Parts: sequence; C-alpha cells; structure tokens
Amino acid sequence: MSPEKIMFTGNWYFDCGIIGFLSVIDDLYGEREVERILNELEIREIDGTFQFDDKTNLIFFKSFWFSYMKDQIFKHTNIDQKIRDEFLEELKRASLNSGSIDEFICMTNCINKSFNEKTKKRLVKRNMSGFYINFAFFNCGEKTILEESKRYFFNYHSYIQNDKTQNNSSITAIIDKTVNKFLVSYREFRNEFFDRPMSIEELERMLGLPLHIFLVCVEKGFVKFEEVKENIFVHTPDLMTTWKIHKGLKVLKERLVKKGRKDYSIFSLVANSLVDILYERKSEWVLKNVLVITHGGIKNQDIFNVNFFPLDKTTACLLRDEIVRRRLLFSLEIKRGNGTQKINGLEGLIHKKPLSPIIVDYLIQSVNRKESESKKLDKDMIISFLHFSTVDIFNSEYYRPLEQEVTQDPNDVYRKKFIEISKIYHIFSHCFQINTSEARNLLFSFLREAKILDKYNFINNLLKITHKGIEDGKLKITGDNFNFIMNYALKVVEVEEVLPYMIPLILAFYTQSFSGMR
Amino acid sequence: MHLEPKEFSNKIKEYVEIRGGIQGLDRSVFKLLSIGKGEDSREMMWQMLRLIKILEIEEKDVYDTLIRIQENAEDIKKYFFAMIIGIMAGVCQASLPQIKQTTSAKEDSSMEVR
Repeated sequence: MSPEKIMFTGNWYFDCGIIGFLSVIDDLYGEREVERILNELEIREIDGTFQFDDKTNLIFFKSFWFSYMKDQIFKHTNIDQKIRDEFLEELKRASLNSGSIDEFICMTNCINKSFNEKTKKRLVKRNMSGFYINFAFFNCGEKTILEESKRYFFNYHSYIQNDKTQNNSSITAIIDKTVNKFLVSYREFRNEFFDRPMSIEELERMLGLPLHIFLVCVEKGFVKFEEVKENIFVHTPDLMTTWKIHKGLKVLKERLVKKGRKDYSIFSLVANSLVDILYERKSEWVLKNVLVITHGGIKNQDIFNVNFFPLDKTTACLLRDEIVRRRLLFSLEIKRGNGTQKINGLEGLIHKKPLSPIIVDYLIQSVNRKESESKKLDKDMIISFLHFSTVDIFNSEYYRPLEQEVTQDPNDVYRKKFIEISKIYHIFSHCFQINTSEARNLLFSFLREAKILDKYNFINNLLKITHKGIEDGKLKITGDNFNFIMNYALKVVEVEEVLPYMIPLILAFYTQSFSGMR
Repeated sequence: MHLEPKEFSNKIKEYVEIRGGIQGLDRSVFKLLSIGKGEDSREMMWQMLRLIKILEIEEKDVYDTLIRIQENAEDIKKYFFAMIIGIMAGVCQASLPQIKQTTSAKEDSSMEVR
C-alpha cells in the first residue's frame, strides 16, 4: 500500500482521536509541528501494521506523557501557581531537548523528584482514573513507581514501532479493553462483526490508520470547560476545519478563564468558533454535516451526560444568514432559583428548546425590578427577542412534512415568519397611541395570559383592543394592516404553540409602558 | 365537507361584506368577545347559529362544520373566535383606508427610471 496522509475517517469517534492526537502534539511542540504532521507526515504499512515514522512516534510519546503530567499538575490547585508553571516549564524543556526515550525518562524523573522534594507533595500520581484506567501504563498499583509505569508506556511505544521482540498480544489486549468500550458493542451489534468481536488491529487494517495512537487520544479531542462541566467536540467532515474549530474553542476557553467568567453558554462558544472558522476557510459546505458532541465527564469508565447535536441542513441554512446568526447569538440571562441561567437563540434552534417562556420570565423579572433599576429594553434586545419567538414558531411549524412541502427554503419560511412577528410588534408599538398606564394594564394582562398560556383570552384581548382602538381612533392603521391583524389572530386560533405569537404584543406594550424605549 | 377555522372565518367575512355590514353587528363584536371570555360553549354555539341566521347563510359546508364541532367545547371555541374575526374583518375593513401598494410602487419605479 502506498503511503497515506492523515485523513478523517468520517466516524466521529476515530476523528476525535485524530484531533486529540494533534492536540497532544500541539501542547508540547506547537502549531508548526502540527502543520508538519498534517502536510508532510505519511502513514506507512509494515507487515500489516500502520505506523508513522520514528521521529513522529517519539514526538507523540513525549507529547502524550507531557500532556498527562500537565493534567496531573493542574489538579494540584493547593500548590502555588508559580511552582506549577515552573515545573511545567522545566518539563517542557526536558521533553523538547531529550533525544531518546531513555533520556526523556531519566530527565523527567529527575525533575519530578526534585519538585516532589521541594513541595513535599507527590506532584504526578501514578494511578489514573477515568478513561485511562485499563491501560497498563497508567494502572500500576501503589507499589510501582512512576518510572515503571513509564516503562509500560514505552512498551506500547515499541509495539507501535513494530518491534517484534515485544509480546504484542498482551499490549494490544489492554488497549482493546480500554478503547473498545466506546466502540460498537459486540453483544448489541453482532452482525457488525460477523463471527467475533473486532479488535483494533482489524479496524486499523480496514481504515489504514494507526488507530491505536488515535484512540488513546480520544479524551484529548474534547475541549474541557470546567466551569460548566462540559466537554465539547465539534465534528465536521474536514480535518483542517475541525482542527481549527478545536483550536478556536481552546482560545475562547483560555480567554474566559482569564476573565474569570463562569456563566457562559457553550452553544454561543461553539457557534462563534464554528462560524468564524468556516468563513475564514470558506468551507461553508461542511456546515451541513456538523455534529456537536458534549459530555459531562468520564468517571469509572462511563461517559455521562453525552449529548449529540447535529446541525441539520435547515439549521445550517439559517445560520448562514449573518443577520439571523448575530441575533440568535444574543444571550439572555435570567434568574433561576439562587443562580442565573444563560440562554441564547442558537440553543433554541439547535436543541429545539422553546425560548418564548424564557423571554416571558425575563420580562416578568424585569417588570418586577425596583424603581431605581433600569427596566428599559434596548433596540437590539427587542429585535433578538423577536428573532427568538420566530425560532420557536419555525421549530414548531417547519418540521411538519405532512402539512407542508419539505422543499420549502427554510430561509424564506424564517424570513416570512420574522416579518409577520415584527410587523405585529410595529403595529402595536407605533400605531397604537395609548398612555403609559393603559399600556401597563395591557402589558400585565398579556403577561398573565402568557404565563398561564391562555390562548383564547389572548385572542379575545387582541381582538378587543383592535376593535376598540379603531373605534376610539387610537389605533391608526390601514385596511391592509387591519387584515394583517385579523389573519394573525386567525393563525393563533389554529396553532397549538401560542406563546411565541404573544411575544410581539407583550414587547410592544412593554416598550410603551416604560417610555422612551421605542 | 367541513370547513377549517380559516375558511369558516373567510365565509363569515364574505357574507358580512355581501350584506353591507348589517346594522348593530359592529356593536355585537364586544358582546361576542365577552361571551368568548367565558367557558359556556352552548352559548357560543347558540350565538354562532343566531349570527348564521342573521347573515342568511345557507351553505351546507357551514352547517356540516357546526354539526361536526357541536360536541367538542374546544372546537366550538376555536370556530367561535374564527367567526368573530370574520365579522370584524367584514365590518371594519370598509371603514379603513387602503394602501394601493401596486400603483405607488409602479410610480416609484417609473420615477427612478426617469
């Protein structure tokens, strides 16, 4: 077989391993080495195993070990940051300068020993929990020393380098046991394997990749957001795009840690990094095949709170519109119990999470604020709220193939809905001349109806104020706008999800109640 | 064949317009709205029948619709409001100024060309 470059397999789990592999290299050697690996490195097949050249293998093992030590050291929050930085700095220098594996082991051991004495604490623990629990090199028991666990690790290195003197089966069995649990289960999907559970070696032969290396890096393919207890991996069909998104997320994370922010929404982070990179790389086509995978952590070999958010074609089409995207990225912060919750429109669009109840809660909280606090809504906020309710209507009405033609352009449908929603808002906020107290009474009655989802009282109220407004001359509209209101009311009669239709009216009377905000 | 709320509303609107806005119908909107506030579906049904009689609607589809919904309070409410919307649309529209969008748009474009 001719040499191959590293390529995505299309399976998110393996691809996550590839990104993890690059991430590990990037941690120690930086972007330049990653670029070399992506552009120049070739995968060779020797005696049925797939491997990198010796230089890359060495780079990988040093990087992986460094990355493992780094994770361990970051857990020691009780040790001074300065000492931790110093330790890492020395470790990095030693790793980069060491020529061979033996030299590397010797140097890192010395550093570890001297820092253990300095801090009177064991900085790098031998036993690993979570993902690496089954690996021999991370599961050495209390009596073994760090050096020995490294030996195990380098036995694995020898295996990867196709060293026939090693007893390969014991090494591969351990790795198979560890990473297999995240692959397709033999018991559940017997037909996938024909006659017996598939080993990684067999998968390697099928894919033509040194999968072992990638699979031990899967955990590193996720970006860890400790504050919100989420790990995120954004999978696209393109390796470079996925890598850039991964890097972008890491940069955003660092920025947030520096600012000390803990209340961010992961969706806005994902969307920001995703869209920026897609535009930068002009690879909009991948937007149709994006899968966002999040998990809450790996504990006792279980991955918990795993969520998959596929960006379907419809969502992607909407996100390509810059105005829509900008509006949906607007984050709304509301009080929930003792804490605050942040939500943005994108979350509603991808996760099909209703946003209107949150807007209503926000407005109620806003109305109940003390006199001294500002109750005003700025123009951006109002437009974003109108977009949020449009998302809700879109979500409940677009995905009904039996009732609607599936070939409809989602952008057209969304735009029409948004125009409808914003027109109602404009009619009642600009053409309805009422004083503040009248507006406040209407606002309260609409909020009450929204809170208990009283559809018919809402329609009743809408018809009454329209009829009375025209009679009294307060509602100055044309026949076309009148027809528009009647059609809107008729639409509300027919739909089941009425709340998003209430939002523009509530907003219109909100802005009139707290004057100077039109 | 029965009618959907939108069709039902349009039918009512059509008849209100044909009858040239029957006197008092305008005021009865408020009365209907106050009935709509309650839960008395029998009253709503009765009002619907009364208005259909006043408007002299004798179409089979309308009666079929009423027969179909008569047992279901939620449906009665739905069609009751559809009827109010139809009445309002029929009565009020005549009194409001209309925008002649097409003519003005044409004028605008011709101005630009010049």
